[in-house]
Amino acid sequence: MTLARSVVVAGLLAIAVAAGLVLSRSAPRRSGTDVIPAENFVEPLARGEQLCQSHEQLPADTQAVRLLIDAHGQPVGRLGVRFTGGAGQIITTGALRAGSAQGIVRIPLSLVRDTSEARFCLRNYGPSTIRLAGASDQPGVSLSIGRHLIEDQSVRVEYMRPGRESWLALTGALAHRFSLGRAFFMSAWALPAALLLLAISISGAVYLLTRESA
Amino acid sequence: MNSRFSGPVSAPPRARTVSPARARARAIRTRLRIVPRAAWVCALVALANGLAWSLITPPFQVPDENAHYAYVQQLVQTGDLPHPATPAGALSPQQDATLSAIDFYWMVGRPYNPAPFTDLQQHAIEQVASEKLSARGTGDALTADNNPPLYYAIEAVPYMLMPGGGVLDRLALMRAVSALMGAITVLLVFMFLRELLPSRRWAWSAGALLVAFQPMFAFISGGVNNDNLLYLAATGILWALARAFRRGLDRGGGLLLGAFLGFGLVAKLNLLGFLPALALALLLLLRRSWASPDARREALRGAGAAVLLGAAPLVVYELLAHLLWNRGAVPIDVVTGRGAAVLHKFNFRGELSHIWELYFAPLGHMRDQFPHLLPIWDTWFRGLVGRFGWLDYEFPEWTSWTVLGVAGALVTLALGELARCRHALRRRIGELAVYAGLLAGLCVEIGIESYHTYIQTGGQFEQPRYLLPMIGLYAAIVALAVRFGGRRFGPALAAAVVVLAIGHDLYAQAITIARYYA
Repeated sequence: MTLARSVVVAGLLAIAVAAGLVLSRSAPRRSGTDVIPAENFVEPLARGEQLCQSHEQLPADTQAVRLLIDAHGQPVGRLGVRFTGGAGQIITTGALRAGSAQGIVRIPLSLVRDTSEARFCLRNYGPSTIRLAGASDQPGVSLSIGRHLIEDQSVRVEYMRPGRESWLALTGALAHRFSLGRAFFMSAWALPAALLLLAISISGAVYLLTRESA
Repeated sequence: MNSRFSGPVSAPPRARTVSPARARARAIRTRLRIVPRAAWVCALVALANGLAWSLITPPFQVPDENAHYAYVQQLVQTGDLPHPATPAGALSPQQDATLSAIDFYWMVGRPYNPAPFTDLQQHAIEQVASEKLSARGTGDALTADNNPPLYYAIEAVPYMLMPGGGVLDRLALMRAVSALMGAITVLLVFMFLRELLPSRRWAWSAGALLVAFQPMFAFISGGVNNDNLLYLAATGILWALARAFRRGLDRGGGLLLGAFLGFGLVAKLNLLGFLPALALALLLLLRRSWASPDARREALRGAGAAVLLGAAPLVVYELLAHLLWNRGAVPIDVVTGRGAAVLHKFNFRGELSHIWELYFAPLGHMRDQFPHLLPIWDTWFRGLVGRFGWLDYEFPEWTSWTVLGVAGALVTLALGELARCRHALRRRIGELAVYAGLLAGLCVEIGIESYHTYIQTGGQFEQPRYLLPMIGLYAAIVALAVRFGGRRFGPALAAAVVVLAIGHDLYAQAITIARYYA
């Protein structure tokens, strides 16, 4: 084997090992977001108050929500979350036990089976006022605290899949996401086609490098 | 036996009638054979990689892709070029509704927001496609307004290939055409290196493959953006120049140079920055052939062809813009913008200082115009290492430091090769000056636009992709570096560099997938 071929083989092996390590690393994964930017804090939520916002797209495979909370440096009190459907039926609920540090908090829910449009409500059972991150000046959105409707404000909600997953375990979900928002003639095979094209490009390069070094 | 020399022993063979079309096809095939197979393979690699990027990057997430699409739509739907509106006008209802449905406005500049994840979003997208909304807007194509029309005229073909298609269907085909332009650019890089650095074929392949796997280049070639045609034209100019400096300027070479310049200018006006160095090139080439009357005549023909062919498309565009499309060739005054008040007063010394500081540290008397960043590192180097989407995600900083180490090693090797070939270099110093002049001209042109954007809006104009017209020179540095290894180590060095580039490209695609789909 020529030196160049050895380099190609060693290099590709190194890439494969690196890719394997990355693909097998587990982490919490999102099932979706409501795309509201977490740029500011919305109106404060006092003890006992409930904040709600409609038109949330609650994705299937969600088992938690992630919110950015400011509790004025104190531990966050107990929070209750509820998602309801158009007819008022409860889709999923969850709660955060008191004592979490402020910042990004993960509130577990019962597993959501199907994607649906839902109304998100969060009640502050804790002793002190909290603030949730979101948009505070965004035309076209709104939320309510108690019976008080607040225009142009909305909370950022991130939906999380169960537990921790590796990229490999997420392949099915990724293939599905790749198929969305595409041309009709490529939706189903967008991810396999991208992988095939990458394989072609790498093979072409390897062919050239090994042929010309011979 | 060759039939030309066989006597008329029997009845002469009946001449085979070849149709003109077949003869033309054969002539094209013969001409294409001058391109080595390795160049085609490099182009195929670039095409596959560009198409992969076009699938990985969600619709309209390549910079200004919405504006470029709007330009094509305006051209096809009305036969007219865009007309800027004040303030910026609406796009067509069809495009605007599609952009809303795919959450475009929520994704741009917000790296924490992914592409659509749910079937509900897909349902909304399909609903927009089924509504058959109007494809005619106000005629405004936003940031693409000032561009000449050639790239958009080419992209009109895939647009029209899907008469009943939705915005996303058309965009996918248009992206494929851009990827094809990227592939041709890589082929031209190979041809440029073959003329520039003869005798080491693996160095040509290494340089061309480096371009094919350069993440920023591949990302742009997977999107609808007229930069793709600009890169092709600029690389074609490099090839034509190297060819002329190696073989002498003749009419064919002049036509080649003029053709790339001509269509490049009506692809994007940034190519105007090349003109001073191209004038220098023609002077040097004429001077070289001045001693011999035959060579002088041929060189004059070549220079004339280059000038005529280089200028003609721009002149035709200027005339058509005024007579047919009722707009200027550059409809938005780059100083006064869309009629908005200018934030800062124009100052020539300020402009010179701005251009200088885009690439170098300020000199003693200069006011620091970029106090919060070092453009050579933050804008250009880190940007070219990889800043994607609408400049809203990039590699972690350690990646740039790693690439800096590799780039430093490659530049050192390239300088070593230049030192080793210093005798040949001395003979080609004029040619080298021309390439340096092209780069300088482009940098000045970018600087002028950057300054005018600054005084008009206070915003930042420059983006790393604006330097990619010189990607042929990047490939030349790599080719020089691997040549330093000689016949024994050169191919292994080339292999190592290309494998690193593959890793870099895959890493870029991985962070793109993480950005939009995870």
